[in-house]
Amino acid sequence: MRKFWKGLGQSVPIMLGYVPIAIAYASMARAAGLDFWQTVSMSVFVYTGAGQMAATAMIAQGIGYFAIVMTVLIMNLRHIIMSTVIMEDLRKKTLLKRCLLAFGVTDEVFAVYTLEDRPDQKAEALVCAGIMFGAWTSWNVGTLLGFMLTSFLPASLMASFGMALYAMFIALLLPSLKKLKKLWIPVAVSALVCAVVTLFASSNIGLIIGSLVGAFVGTFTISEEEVS
Amino acid sequence: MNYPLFIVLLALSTYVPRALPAVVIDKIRFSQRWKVFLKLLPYTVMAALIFPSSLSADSQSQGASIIGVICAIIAGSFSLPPIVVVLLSVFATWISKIFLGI
Repeated sequence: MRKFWKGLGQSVPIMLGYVPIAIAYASMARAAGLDFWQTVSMSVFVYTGAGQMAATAMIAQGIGYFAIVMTVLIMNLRHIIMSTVIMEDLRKKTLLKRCLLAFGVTDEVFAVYTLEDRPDQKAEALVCAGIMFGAWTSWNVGTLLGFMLTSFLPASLMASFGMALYAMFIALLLPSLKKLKKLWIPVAVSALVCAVVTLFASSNIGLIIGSLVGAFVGTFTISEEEVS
Repeated sequence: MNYPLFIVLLALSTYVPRALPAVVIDKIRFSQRWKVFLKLLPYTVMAALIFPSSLSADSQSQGASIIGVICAIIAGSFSLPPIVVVLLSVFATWISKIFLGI
């Protein structure tokens, strides 16, 4: 149980990022004409930040359900990459545990679980569950808040909370880069490829291609001992 | 299509990509090179998440977003806890909008 609490503690920066985004999602959903249960059920079961925003915007534009489902599926393909990394770490756990934990894989949970404390996580399913529970709960609390009391914070502060998750990513990435200078090569390749592909396609495709190319280049410049 | 069915399909479209690796991982053994590849992915995914999207993190002001990113880099390079970096960076983004007059 101590490990679950540890994971819950690690999820606090995620909460700070999720609550304002969930509030924004819920006010958007309300504006798009979704009722309370429609808004909340999407957060509880679908649970994907950018995907829910996109789905809501498409509902507001009157786009068909099937096209929306396909769009969200494409937006979520990147989670195959992240889930593979987490499941490789948890491969000794039972199939049931892995399938339950898979529900909680988001960009932010992936970031915290794989990079906080130790770069080389050693199969801590309970820490992982703690991070996921904190993140998922805050997403739903934010959704409730957003639906019930739209805009109780100044819009300018709400917009600045858009920086929260990026700041968390930077805070997680920088210490590793300081420790292992060689990491700059795959990291820089990834960021550059992502930026270029984003210009021509979408930020989602950019993320997928950039991270894969960067990591592949890294396998030629870094050995396994160095990265563990 | 009614809304509950829509939610089910939407939930599947997010759950299937997440669960697929959980189901097939038993059948996969990674070679040395692919193990390194998997270990590098957290760093490269992070880099691609940060750049270029963070430069427009504050939807109201790109200038303020850039200031927020610089603040996060400075705070992060001191290896401060993520929560401190997050609070400093959000605050800097918000305050700089006031100074930039937005």
